[in-house]
This record gives sequence, C-alpha cells and structure tokens, in this order.
Amino acid sequence: MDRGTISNSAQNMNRTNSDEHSKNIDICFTCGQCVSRCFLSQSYPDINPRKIIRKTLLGREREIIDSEFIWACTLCGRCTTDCPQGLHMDVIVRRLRFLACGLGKGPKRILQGIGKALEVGNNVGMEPEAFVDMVEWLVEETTEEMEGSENNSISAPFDKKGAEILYLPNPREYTSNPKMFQTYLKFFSYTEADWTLSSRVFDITNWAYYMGDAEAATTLVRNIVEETRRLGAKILLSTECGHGFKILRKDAETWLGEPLGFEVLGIVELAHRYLKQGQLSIKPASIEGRVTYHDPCNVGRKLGVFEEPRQLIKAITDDFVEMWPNRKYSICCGGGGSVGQNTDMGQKRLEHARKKIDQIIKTGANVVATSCQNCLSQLDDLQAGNDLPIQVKSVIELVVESIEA
Amino acid sequence: MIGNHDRRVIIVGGGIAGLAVARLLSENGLPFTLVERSDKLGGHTKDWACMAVDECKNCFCCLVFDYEDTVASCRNSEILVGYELSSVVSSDSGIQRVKVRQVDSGAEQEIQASALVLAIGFDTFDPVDKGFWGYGQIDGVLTLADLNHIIRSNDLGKLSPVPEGALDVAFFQCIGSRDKSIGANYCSQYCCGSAIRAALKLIHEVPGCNVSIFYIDLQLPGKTTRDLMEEAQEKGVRFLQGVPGEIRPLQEGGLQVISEIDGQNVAERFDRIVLSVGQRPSASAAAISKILGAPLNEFGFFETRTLFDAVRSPANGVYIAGSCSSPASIPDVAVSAGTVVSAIIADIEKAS
Repeated sequence: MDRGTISNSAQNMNRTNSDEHSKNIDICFTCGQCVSRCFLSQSYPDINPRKIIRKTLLGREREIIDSEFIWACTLCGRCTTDCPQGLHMDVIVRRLRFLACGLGKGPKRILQGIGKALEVGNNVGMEPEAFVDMVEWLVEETTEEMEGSENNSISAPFDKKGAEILYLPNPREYTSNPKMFQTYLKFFSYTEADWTLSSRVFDITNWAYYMGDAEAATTLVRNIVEETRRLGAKILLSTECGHGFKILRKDAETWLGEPLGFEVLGIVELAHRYLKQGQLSIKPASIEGRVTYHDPCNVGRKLGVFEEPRQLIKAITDDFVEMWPNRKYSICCGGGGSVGQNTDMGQKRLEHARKKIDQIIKTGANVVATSCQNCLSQLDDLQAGNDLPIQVKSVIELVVESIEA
Repeated sequence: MIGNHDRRVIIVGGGIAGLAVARLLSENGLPFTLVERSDKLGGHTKDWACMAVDECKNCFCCLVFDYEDTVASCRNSEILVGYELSSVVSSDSGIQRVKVRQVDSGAEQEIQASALVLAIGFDTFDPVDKGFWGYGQIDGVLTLADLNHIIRSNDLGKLSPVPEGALDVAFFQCIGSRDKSIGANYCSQYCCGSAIRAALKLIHEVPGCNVSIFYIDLQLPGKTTRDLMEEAQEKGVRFLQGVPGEIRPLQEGGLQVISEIDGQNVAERFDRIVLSVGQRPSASAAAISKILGAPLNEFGFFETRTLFDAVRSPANGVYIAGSCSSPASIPDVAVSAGTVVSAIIADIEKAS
C-alpha cells in the first residue's frame, strides 16, 4: 500500500493493493443499504458509509479524513454485508485512516502500540523474559488454585519444537486480564493438548491493520508465520481474538503471497473439534442461567464461524437463547476496530453501543458469551456502565467451567 | 396455409407469454399444443391485481383473461394443463417430436412437432434469505406480489391495523434485482412501474394511506410511466433516493427504517413495508435446458442467439418467449411473443 497524499486518495483507494476485496469504489451506485445498517447512524446523523464513498469520489475526502467517524467506525463490516456491488466498507475506512495517519491525525496510543509491536514484537512492549516470567507465575498461581482437584498438571511449554499447536495469545491475557490466560492454561491441561508458546512471538493483535498500514501489518503477520514454521507447529492456534484470528485465517496468505504451510485454527474451533471427537469432558446443563451468544464481527460475519460456538454452548446449557438479529447480521458491540484501544475516543464507544445493549436486554439472558477479547472487554464495560444483570464470559471460559463443574 | 398441419408448435408454459404466443399462432393458422405444468393457465399475471383506479393505469394484468378466452377457442390446437415436457427428438432441421408427461399420472404422449417455444416465465425473488429486511420474520413486511394478492382478493382492510387511522406504507425497490451478491446484476424491468401503480391504488382505496417509495434510481421507460410518476407525486407519494438496508420492528408497533434525507440520517416509522421483488430465472430452467440442449446465460435465463436475434435459442427449432430469457414487463412479453411467432413463420417458410 502506497503512502498516498490527500489529493490522490480516491485514486489510491481505487488502486489494487494487498487488501482483500479492494475494489474501485466508483462502482457504488448509491443504493443506500449501508446507511441504515451502520450502528453509528444515529450517533453521527450527518455522516454514513455511503457519504464516505460519495465525498471521496467528489474530491471531498478531506472532510471524511478530518471526521471523528472514521475512528468511531469499528470496521464491523455490517453496512456492506451482501453489498449489491461487493464493496467492503472496512477496507475503505482503513484506507482513509491510513491517509489520516499520514497527516499526523492518527491516534497516539495505537501508533505507539504499532511501534512497540514492530520493535519488540508485541503492542505492550513486553520483553520476552518478562513474558516468560509472567507465564511461569500464572502457571504457579493456577496450580495453587487447583490444588486438591484431580486435574492439576498445569504447565506452559515454551518454544517446544514439533508441538502440534502453537498458541498465540492476546496481550490482554498477560496484562489487564490474566484470568483469561489461566482459563486457556486450564483448557490445554484438561484437553491434554500438545501445545507450546513462543518466547519470541506472543501477540496476535495487529493494530497496523486497524490503521490501514499494510506494510507494517504484513511485517507483523510475517513474524508470526515465520515463528510458526520455525517451531514446526501444525496448527497456529488463535486465542479468542477477532481481528487477529481473521487476519491470520483470511488475509495472511494473500499478504505474504504464499501458502502458510500450517493450519490456522481458533481456540473455539479446536474446542469444537474436541467436542465432536468426544475428547471434551464437559457436562450437559452445567451452566446456570440463560445464556446468549454475541457474534464477534471478525469471527462471525467475516470468517463465518457461527455454529461452533453455539454447539459448544448448547452442549453445556439447556437454556440458550439467540439475540436478534444474529450471525452475519449481528450488531457490533461497539468496541472493535481499534475503538477500544483508542484513548482519543474516550468513552464514546459505550454511548454508541445502545443497540447492542437493547439486544442483550431483550434476550433476558444471565450470561452473554462471546469469543473475542475486544468484545469481551467492551461487553464487560457495557455491563458495568449500565448495571446490566448479566455476566460476560468467553466461550472457552464456559467450557472450562463446565469441565470443572 | 403455412407449414404442415400434422406437426404442431409446442408451447411450454401457459403464463401470459405462452398464451400470447398461442393466440398469435392461431391467428396465423398454425396449430399448437400448449403444455402447462401447474393446474391452471395464466401464471403469475393471474394472481396480480388490476391497478385501475378512476381509469385504467395500463398494468395490463387483464390481458391474460382476454388471451385465455381466445386461446380456449382455437381450432386444431390443444391445451394440456397438468403436463410437462419430458423429452424431445431433434434433427439438424430442428425439433421433430416431443414427449409430454402428465404430472399426476406420469402417463406420456408423443406429439409431432414443428417448433418448440419456451415460455416458462420467471420465479419471484424470495427475500427470505435477505435477513436484514426480515421478510417472513417481521410482521408487516410483505412483497409486491403479496400486496397484489391482497388487493386481488379484496382484502385491503387487512393492511390497516386501525380502520380510521393513517396507514404509512413504504415500498423498497430493487429487492433481488441489481444485486451482484445474489447473481442478479440486472434490472427486473417491471417493478418501478408496478410499485407506482400499487401506490396510486392504495391511496385511492385506503383512506389515510401515505406512501413513500425508496428507490436506487427509477427505471421508467415508455410513454406512460413518467406521467404515472407525476400523478403519484401530485397525490403525495414521496420518492426517496436510497433503499434502507434494514427493517427494525419497534416495541410499540410499527417498523423503523433509517435513510439519508437531505444529508441527514433520519429514522422513520412505517406500518407496512412492501419489498418490490425482482424476477429470478425459473427453478425448472436448468432441467428444461438439459432436455432441449438450450443453453442458459450467466444469470440462469435462456440464452438467445444474439442480442438482435433475441427469440431464437442456439438449439435448433427452439424459440424463447417472455421472461424466461430476460426479466420483462407484461407489454415486453407481448412484444416478445409477436417476435417469436414472426420468427417461427419465417423459419417454416424458409424450410418449405
């Protein structure tokens, strides 16, 4: 992707780049379907996805680039689901963000994170030794917590060559929410997986992708791919992380221009595979209360992983209820696409999530399950901010709870 | 007298296209056998409603009854209702014999044929897979076909929840047309005119009815449809560019849509939303294509030889009438039937 100037941004957007589905935006025939599907249409009444295209084509893209809208957009892709002309708004917005970054309008925290990821290998700037220490401490903690239970063989292998699975975490798991990491430790222990961590590459996120910086995004992906090959893993296992999983599954081969040579699997898919093979000692009806599932945009709409999480949840609860609309029509939680990490946006993501909150309340569910760290974090904040009578859980968290029940 | 009367022109499909072809063949002294798979003649047109208000609005639905009456009295010809095409024998010079099968009994009969006309029509687009619009899931969302059935069965009261209250109706155009995501990158030709006629009909028949038509761009060819649009505007029909991509049922009742009006995203409430559904290739096109060796185009409609020879199939002796080669309005179908019959006569004369 070239670093374009504003004056030729329309041209740049038309140019074929390494992004998937990058098409000439002038094929838009203004049908307007996208206008109403955007969850921001009422928060930003004077802008919408269609206007982004029209203004860009009319040479007024500067108005878009200067707008807050491109940073409030979560790249959820709902607006262009089944677009009659096959356009993908998330690609267009990422391109506009890239142009904005070139003008010095990029969000500082995100850009710093990208810098750290390129320099150290993860967006929090954690050195490998610190990561190994952190994991070892979490292994100890988890082992202590589990004392007395039958399953207490918690371990976290590092750089184990030839292990079947290389597990790639999200930094949230070893910074703000170590409970999540412990959950995955337990999952690997209970399923007796042949897995390893890498002491070099331990960040699945790709904030450069959020900023439309294809060159940096590709570098970050290449680091992951090369490490997976070096360790000889058959499966690169994504944590419950929407965009990280989506990029590795859907974009990585295109960006690198070569086959990966290994399988990219989401941890929910792995759990589902174990379920089908009878290797998951979950218990039916072991989760209390009514459970609903929030489809993360990347995992659901963009990757089509709809049924695996549902089948897992239904295997452990008798009271599963769908939000409506769901699956590819699911409403974004409001926290994705960098909005959750972008400190310039303050708490606006919570105000923008009204439709999601209404959807959740309507289900009457006690537990909202999902399978993306970003969604988990946003739903947690929505719960706390609105005093919602729900618990937010990851699908794997529920699976582990069921195994332990 | 044209041609050999022991051999007949086989017409597959008894909708308005097939009936129009039959009528013209008969006028020209050519015997035919019309084969209709369902249990009645008339096809879609018969289910649609007359759109006349104080005067005729040229919807042409009534043509089907005229055609049916004329065709029923044709001499030397037969109409086989409840029959379908089962096989065909052709030579280089075209179709020789066809076998037709009674759908219920499976009994077959053979007919000496001089030509075969495909007039199997279209399938109405089923918007059920377009989940954002909630057809089949949200009360109050119907298709233009549903609305026509309601009008036809004199059931308009069904539309108004409160008899004296206002009824706000929106039409969404291009549903299942001009949509690459479902392989329908074409205009369905009939829907803009039909929606406007239906809007006028609703305003005429239902007191307090307000109509909005959401469109991408209005396709109003011909000499009468622009006048229709002006009349609709005079009667208060709103024409709004941009089709809302989602319908949300409101807790308090009604349907909410968001569209861009004067540059602002505006939420509005409607009681009923009518999806102006497009024409899709008939579900039986693939099977019939196989029987006849008549190829289909990229959309699944029957291919014609060239753009300007738009009624002859590349398969010898096979002619294509009406909407099974391309989406069409009723007047278009009537014109195509005339072209088919001219082509058949020309080909028979050339051969003799």
